[in-house]
Amino acid sequence: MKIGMMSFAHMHAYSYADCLQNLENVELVGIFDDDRSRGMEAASKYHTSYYDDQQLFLELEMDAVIICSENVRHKEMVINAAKAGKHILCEKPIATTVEDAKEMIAVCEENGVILQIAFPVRFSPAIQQVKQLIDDGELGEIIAFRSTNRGQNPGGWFINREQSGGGAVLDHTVHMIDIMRWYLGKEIVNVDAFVDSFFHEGTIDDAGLLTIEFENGVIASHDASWSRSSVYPTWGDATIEVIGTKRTIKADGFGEYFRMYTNDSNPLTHVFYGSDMDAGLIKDFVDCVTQDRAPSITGYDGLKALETALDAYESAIRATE
Amino acid sequence: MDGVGLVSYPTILFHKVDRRVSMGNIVFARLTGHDADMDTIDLGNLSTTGEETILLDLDSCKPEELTGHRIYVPAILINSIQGENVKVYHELQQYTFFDSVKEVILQDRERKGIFRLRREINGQKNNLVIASDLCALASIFGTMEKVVVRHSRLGLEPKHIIVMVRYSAGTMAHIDYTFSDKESLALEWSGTRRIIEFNSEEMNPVVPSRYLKATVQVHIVPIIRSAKDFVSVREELTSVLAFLGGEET
Repeated sequence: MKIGMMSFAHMHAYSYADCLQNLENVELVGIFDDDRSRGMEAASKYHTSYYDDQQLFLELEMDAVIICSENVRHKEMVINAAKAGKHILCEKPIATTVEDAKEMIAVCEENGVILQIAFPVRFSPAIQQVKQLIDDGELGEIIAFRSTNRGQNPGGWFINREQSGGGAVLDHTVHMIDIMRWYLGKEIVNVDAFVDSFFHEGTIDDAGLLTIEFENGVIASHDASWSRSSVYPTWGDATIEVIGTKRTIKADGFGEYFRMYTNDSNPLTHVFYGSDMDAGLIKDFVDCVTQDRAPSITGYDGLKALETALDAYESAIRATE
Repeated sequence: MDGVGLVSYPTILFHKVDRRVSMGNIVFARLTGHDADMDTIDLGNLSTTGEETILLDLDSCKPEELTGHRIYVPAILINSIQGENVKVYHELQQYTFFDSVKEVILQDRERKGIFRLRREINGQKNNLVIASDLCALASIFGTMEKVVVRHSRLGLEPKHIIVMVRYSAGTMAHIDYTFSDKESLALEWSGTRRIIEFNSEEMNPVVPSRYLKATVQVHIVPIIRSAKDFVSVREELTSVLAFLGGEET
């Protein structure tokens, strides 16, 4: 199977490329990137060809592309790739507006290509185990969720609203909303949120709390913030607590670590040794394409997660009125 | 804390009170129903006053029968007793870890940050528990500006409640309660200068925890120090309960 990568603007691109290299029968045939220097460097690192022309790149003989551009460019790249007949794995969030996301989904359907959204948390063994317990009825009926997806401020284009479409709330809401929807099989009907900027000098949001209600009455609280400082022992977290009628259970996507104390500015570090959820995501996408099956995480999943993040922003605006 | 009555959470001191003893402090606290051993400890006298202090479980006797003593009750008993000698305290404020956390947060000039509190309460759903906690948190974060409350579906157990608060000084907070048969408390503060994490299930110096009296302990001195007169606490609670839709559970 031949795969190309479109843009290394998002840091996850490097992890995904590493994962591709670890898969047998998968060839990274080329890298397109508007940023010539970044693209050439990545091409050199992964021993493949660099393309600065998107059209020429999409004319390559390849089955699929992985898109890791700035959020606002997802739409353009997804639509172009779909029209070129390439299956697509698109970094989250799917888009920055609901309209764009719907158009992307429609174009992919029209062109008969897979559109999968990169929600790697679904491939965390801990998160998957909870899903299994729920499906097996071990937790009883789900009553509520309590989740976090907190991290460090990534800086760069992430804090430029014109390129990212939003700050921490957009960046760190979609993962855990996707997990909750996956666990429940239900949709969100109400979102209340407080959004603010506390932890850096800029104006883009870096703090957000969401209170959510699903169509079946399940309630949830979620912390979507860039609230971890540079001296925090780890980059961040992806946690969920599921309160059921039979029992409550907690899962931490990054919970497999050991503590390391060093004599420097970061005296304590959590060294992660667990399974690489990105590897699970990439393998699933490759399997999806080679087996010609529906994606496990659809464009619609991406759209619903995006809607919740955008609803949070609207709720926060209403809260200040 | 020399001379201080430090009593593990599930401990019951006296099952009956001798109503003939001279004026003393009778402290009611939520002691029972916790997952740990129970025993009896002689508190002795408070060194600061020289007066006898007795700690009683909420269910051990009726506070209104204990005339002639200074009575200290948690805010959840606000409707059970009143009078000149009645002082009311917020349970959260008597935990020494809470006092320490409060002290650290107050060191920062700004209250901008995210506060998260998670409580599992061994007992029935009770809005007074939540209101009391919100009163205690107001001593750190100030006035509540906006509150969103979500309740779990009727008819399902355990009951779960999410309270989301925006404080006027900037803090945003999520407070999650589950009313079941378990007792635990976890809090996190993500401020601009520091992050604080506390979890009663992790802060346990004895493992297995069944050999420990409790990871969250009742301390009498903070209760006596922080308790306020009935009327002022009643006003505080009424104000907060308005955000929660009243006492109705």
